[in-house]
Amino acid sequence: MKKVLPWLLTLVLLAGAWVQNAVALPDGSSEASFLTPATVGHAATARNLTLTVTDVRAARSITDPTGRTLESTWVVVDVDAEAIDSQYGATLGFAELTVGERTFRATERVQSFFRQRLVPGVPRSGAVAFELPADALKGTGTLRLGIPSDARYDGLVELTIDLSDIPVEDAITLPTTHWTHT
Amino acid sequence: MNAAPPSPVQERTLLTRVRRMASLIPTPWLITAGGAVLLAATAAFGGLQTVSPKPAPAVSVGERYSGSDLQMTVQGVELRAERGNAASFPDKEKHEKVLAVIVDVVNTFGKPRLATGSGSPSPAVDGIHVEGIDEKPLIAYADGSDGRVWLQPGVPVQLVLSWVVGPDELHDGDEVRLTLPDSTHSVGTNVQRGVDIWDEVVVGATLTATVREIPASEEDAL
Repeated sequence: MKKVLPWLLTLVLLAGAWVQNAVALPDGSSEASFLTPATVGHAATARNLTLTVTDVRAARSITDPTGRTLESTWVVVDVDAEAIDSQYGATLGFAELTVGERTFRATERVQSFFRQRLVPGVPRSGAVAFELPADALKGTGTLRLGIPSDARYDGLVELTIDLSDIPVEDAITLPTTHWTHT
Repeated sequence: MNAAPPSPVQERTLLTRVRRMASLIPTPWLITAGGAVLLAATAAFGGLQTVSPKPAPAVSVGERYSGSDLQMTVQGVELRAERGNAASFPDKEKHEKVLAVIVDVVNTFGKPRLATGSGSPSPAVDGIHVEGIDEKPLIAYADGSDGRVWLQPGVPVQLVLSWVVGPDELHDGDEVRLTLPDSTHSVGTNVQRGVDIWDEVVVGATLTATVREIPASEEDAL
């Protein structure tokens, strides 16, 4: 027994270490965002935000409410959004689209819903636009929307969209961000 | 040396001869010889003189340069009486002008990045430096789009870098020398965990361009 015990103990410790290594989350997971999965047309909630992506469109040219027209490759995401309990610091401050290895941030080149204020209980609707390289409209994309400009430790709504499925229109006029009439 | 005389018993093989010869060389000689070899080798490679860094390659106007995970193509240098879409505001009463560098930029990194960088010298697009001007340039979209300039991965965009210059600092046809930045990418740790950092900024390329003066339009001169 005296000879077997140390070996047994070694085995138990090694197995324990292996299990711990296998179940440990990757580095930096403690500050990862809290993701709420969502689909087009259905509301999702992340901390101080309730959001519905109503449509995802693509176009070669977009025109914003001020009349500025930009030619490129655009993905336009129509959004209804409201804050839940606080107006303080509530803006649609995070909008990223990941396609393959590349992550795109909603454009600030046109007037859109991106970085606009949100109000508790009163939904607003508008659209955010992403500028992509001409060849990027294929495969699946992961869309993440939320309030914080720095998404660590905070909630985001996540949608998976099939980019090759979206018909590419010639031109889209971005809607003016306004109160949702329902 | 108190080497024992060769015993008659010992055979005079090649090995014993070599051993005996080696034992006759005094140790200080070896040390001296080693030192001499070291010094000679050092001298052969240029001694203790500071090695000058490899000069940055020169690119020309219209030529694409890659550095700091950006592709930058300087399209021209203009001296503008009117600012156009540039972000600098010259004082017309002081007859100030805008020095504008038009650059096509593509972000080859996988994440969106600001065209402006913190620190000086900057690793980003505002690290493009005109010799003789100390300030960083202001950056705007060449097409007049609003907002901070975010470089989306793989999306080409034309930018205007601008500085306000005095009325007689530069003239049409003058040559200006630009430097383009290069840097090393790393990912931050601890409080900066996961943050992409470009540092160790160096001059990646130099560029000589001719200034083209764009005078004020007629109605504006009134």
